[in-house]
Amino acid sequence: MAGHKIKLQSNDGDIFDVEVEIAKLSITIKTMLEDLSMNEEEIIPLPNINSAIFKKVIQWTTHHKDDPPLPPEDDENREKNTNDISSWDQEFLKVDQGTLFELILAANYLDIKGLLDVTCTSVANMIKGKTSEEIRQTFNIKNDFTPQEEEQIKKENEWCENK
Amino acid sequence: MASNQKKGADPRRASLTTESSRNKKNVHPHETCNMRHFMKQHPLLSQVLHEDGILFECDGQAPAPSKDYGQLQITLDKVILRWWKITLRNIDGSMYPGEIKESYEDFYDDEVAQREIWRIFGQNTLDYCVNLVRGKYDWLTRLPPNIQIHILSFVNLDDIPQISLVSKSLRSLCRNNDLWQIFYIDHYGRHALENKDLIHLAERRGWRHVFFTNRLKLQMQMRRASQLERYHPEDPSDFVRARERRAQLQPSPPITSRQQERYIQPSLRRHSFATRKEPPLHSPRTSLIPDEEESPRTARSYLTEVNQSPRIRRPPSPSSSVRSNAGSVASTSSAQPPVKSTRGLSTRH
Repeated sequence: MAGHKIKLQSNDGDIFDVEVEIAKLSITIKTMLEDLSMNEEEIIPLPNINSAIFKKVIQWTTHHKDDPPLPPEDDENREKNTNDISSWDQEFLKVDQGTLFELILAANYLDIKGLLDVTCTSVANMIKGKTSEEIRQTFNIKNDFTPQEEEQIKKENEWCENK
Repeated sequence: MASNQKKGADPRRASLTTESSRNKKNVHPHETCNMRHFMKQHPLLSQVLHEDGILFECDGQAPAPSKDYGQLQITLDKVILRWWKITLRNIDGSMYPGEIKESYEDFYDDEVAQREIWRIFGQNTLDYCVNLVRGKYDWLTRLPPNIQIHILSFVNLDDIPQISLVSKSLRSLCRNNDLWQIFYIDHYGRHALENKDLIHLAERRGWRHVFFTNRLKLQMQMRRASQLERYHPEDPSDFVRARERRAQLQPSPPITSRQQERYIQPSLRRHSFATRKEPPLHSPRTSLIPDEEESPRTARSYLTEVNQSPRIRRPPSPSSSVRSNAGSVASTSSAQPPVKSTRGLSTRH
């Protein structure tokens, strides 16, 4: 069983040979394999994944294949450990915003929780500690408040901070 | 013509764009983005975009004293700006509506179009558009809500006030019930979910409310709620009586019919701000921001609106009606010879 490979095809036609164990980190692929009980030679199409992104996904899952499975969520391990993205992941996520957000959507589509968490954390780190103006600049978000509305929200926020 | 000008454009731009805030960024000449190519490379992100291929659309009136009206559209490869000059004096030529329709590259070098956008829509919109044609798209606010919430669940609580100041969509996201449930669990522990009374209260008042209520007060509220409103599915009349009793005991805040609706269908409530974002056109509440803490008056007026027009789910937004208008005016304008999207347009000064 070890080393057994399956074929996955990205939306631009490239075919990837991926070890089953790695591919099964994606819950979407895993359920597909189990439900359809597919033939070995059959090619599984991934109509929403571009090959450049899929390469990144395989790179990530290959590196993380031996990670212990995520412990069940309880109070301690969902600590705010937002900053501790491993250095390998940090290097891996040094990409432009388009690729980063595409990776998030790919992780969501393929249902790879670890990758989704680390990419979302990376975006959250781009938000943390910034002022609203800096956040707008980072993500090119248009300020659509009128000055009055802005005042109103600032007042509400004061209330938040005085909790 | 345009491409010739473009070749020599970059040194020229550096000296010219002083009044715009982009002078800092001009140090490195940026290329404009090829959106179609980008979409091919990013199939999942392109699903997030509108199907009609319009990346951005807005319309508005220039600030006083000018009354000029403008409409701006950015599609996958074009920037389209239309304007209607409004003056009291009848000056030849200046009364016709005008239109500029050009590629990202041309727009990036078009001082006049950019100044016009700045004049009508202001600096924010101009910056946004220039960033957009350079390929800096506001993906964060376009992602599906569940992913946005997942991202926000990783920020610190003290970042929330700044995030809610960024834009309207992020503000409503910062008040999302699911997000506050995550925050609550982070802060008070997962075992909070075992407390039925707490869940009951959160379903009625929202997790954000529960989060910011201090412990003692929370316990009192929970106890009162469980005494008065113990829900017996086999005997609904008991629930009704409890509600009446509660109304007597607590004159304020009175139970509005909307709160009942909430209680019966908590899942509806979770999205309440999203559905309220676009009130019907005839709504008296054209006010600024839909507020989560409901006041009885607005809640009731909202309900009556819903009752009056049960079939109208999504009224045509003002911008779309304007768009159709704009199209008709623009098409009549194309019959007028003086108005063309050439560079030396007299009305653009």
